[in-house]
Amino acid sequence: MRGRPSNLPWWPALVLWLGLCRPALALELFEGFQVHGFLSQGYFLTSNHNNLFGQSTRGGSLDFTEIGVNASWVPRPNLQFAVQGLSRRAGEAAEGEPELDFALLDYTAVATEDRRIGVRFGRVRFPFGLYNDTRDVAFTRPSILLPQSIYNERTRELAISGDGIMLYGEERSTWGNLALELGPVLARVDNENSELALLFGDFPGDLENRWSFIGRLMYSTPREALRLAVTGVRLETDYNPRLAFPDDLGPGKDLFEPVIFSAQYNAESWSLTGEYARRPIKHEGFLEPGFDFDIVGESYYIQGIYRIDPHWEMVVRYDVLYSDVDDRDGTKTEAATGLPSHLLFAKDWTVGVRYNITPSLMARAEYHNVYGGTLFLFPQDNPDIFATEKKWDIFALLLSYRF
Amino acid sequence: MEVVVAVNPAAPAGEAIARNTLSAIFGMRLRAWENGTPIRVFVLPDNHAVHVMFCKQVLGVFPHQYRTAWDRLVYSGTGQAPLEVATEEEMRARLAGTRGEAPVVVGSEEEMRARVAGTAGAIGYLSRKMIDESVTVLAVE
Repeated sequence: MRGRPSNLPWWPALVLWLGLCRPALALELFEGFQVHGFLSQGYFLTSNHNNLFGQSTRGGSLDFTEIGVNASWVPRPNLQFAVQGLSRRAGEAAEGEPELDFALLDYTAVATEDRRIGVRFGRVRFPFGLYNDTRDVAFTRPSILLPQSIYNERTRELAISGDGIMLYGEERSTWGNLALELGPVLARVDNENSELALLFGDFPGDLENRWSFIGRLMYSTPREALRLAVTGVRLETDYNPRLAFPDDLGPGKDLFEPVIFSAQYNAESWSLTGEYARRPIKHEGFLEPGFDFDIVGESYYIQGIYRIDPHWEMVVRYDVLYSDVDDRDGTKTEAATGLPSHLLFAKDWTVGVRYNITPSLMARAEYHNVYGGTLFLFPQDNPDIFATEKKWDIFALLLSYRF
Repeated sequence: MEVVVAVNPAAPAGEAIARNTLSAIFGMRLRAWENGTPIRVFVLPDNHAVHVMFCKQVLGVFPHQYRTAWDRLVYSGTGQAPLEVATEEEMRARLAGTRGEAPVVVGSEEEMRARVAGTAGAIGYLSRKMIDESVTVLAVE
């Protein structure tokens, strides 16, 4: 618990000031060189001892800030350099350390009105479902908190970006458009959050990334009213123990192979979106009893957005996440380990509203009725997991500026 | 009101453009004219009546779909945004801030026309009544 003075709401004031006094358009510093960015400040109030993004139960938490700045340069039509830095505060799990989100060179080998083929090298964003590509930019999210079924905050570091090569190809024709992105990548696993997500604890040794693969194939109808996508991931991680077993885990291997199916229909004033994931996770070589397992998680959400007018937008969503399809209610795990059963799943009804104050300044409010489960709570915010409760609520506010 | 595609008179665009090509250009996927000249894309703000009409009638998509696509390019490092010309309010504010002469209300379509006319390889769109000899109209096939 840190009663930090930085909890004083000067961030929201800064966002408001930027939004109202600098209704800036994108900056083009010289021809082909653009600078963009965003700044968001959130407020989270939760019930029943379940803390989300800081000490959110009593009086709420302002420990949620997202800042990003990017620059892109197109020296020739077939070449682009792009780099983005991020700073993110999210309770105890993220304290605003600057991170390199992407830094890439994009070469387009073929570009015609209906075909594009190229490759990106460097640190690239992972093409994953419908929202991962820009998941930190509040303007591009459907709600303050993304659907945790597919975009679990606890696996953010694993899902967001990594180093590698991404091939891309697009084909457009009268029957619709196909877009494929595919490549070998090294995920960002050497951090506490990834270790907690993959190993459920912070152990003496370190995780080491192995070459992994990610690919997304998207089909859309000619005017993109309907978008269908399938994403496949093979994420391989090794654990390098520092101490000998039993003072540390054994030299284990984690293999995570989620498949995500995405669908979205866009009309003028409404959009309907659903995504479904199957998430097999396999652990071997950890030696510790209970650590070598082979389970399949499952998750999905369905979401409706209604754009009332250019300023107001509403969202309703049902969001479900199970970590083990053979133990959906967690009772088997509770019987075997004594851990609360509600750690293994989350079911969340969300309603929210968005108000576009100007094209570059936006406010949001939303309510979540988590009518069971705590799977997306961070252990760092909830050091005593036995104090957490199965049913809880989230009320959140967000102010966001972008340019 | 009729919305037409306007290009810089020196742009190597011919007299007509295919809807597919137009869609690739405004989707920021096609960055060069056939002779290799970089394409400079200008748009009006999302809520501007001329922008809404251009998206819906000429390209057949809703403005929010283009906004989503541009945001994905910009914030994932995979592309760039079109150049947005200033809103009328901003133009008014800018002119009101200049000393001396009484501020003249300049619409953002005037700004669009000036930018397209003054930028090599530029493409944008205007309501038909705004067209003058400074820009070239392309028919959409």
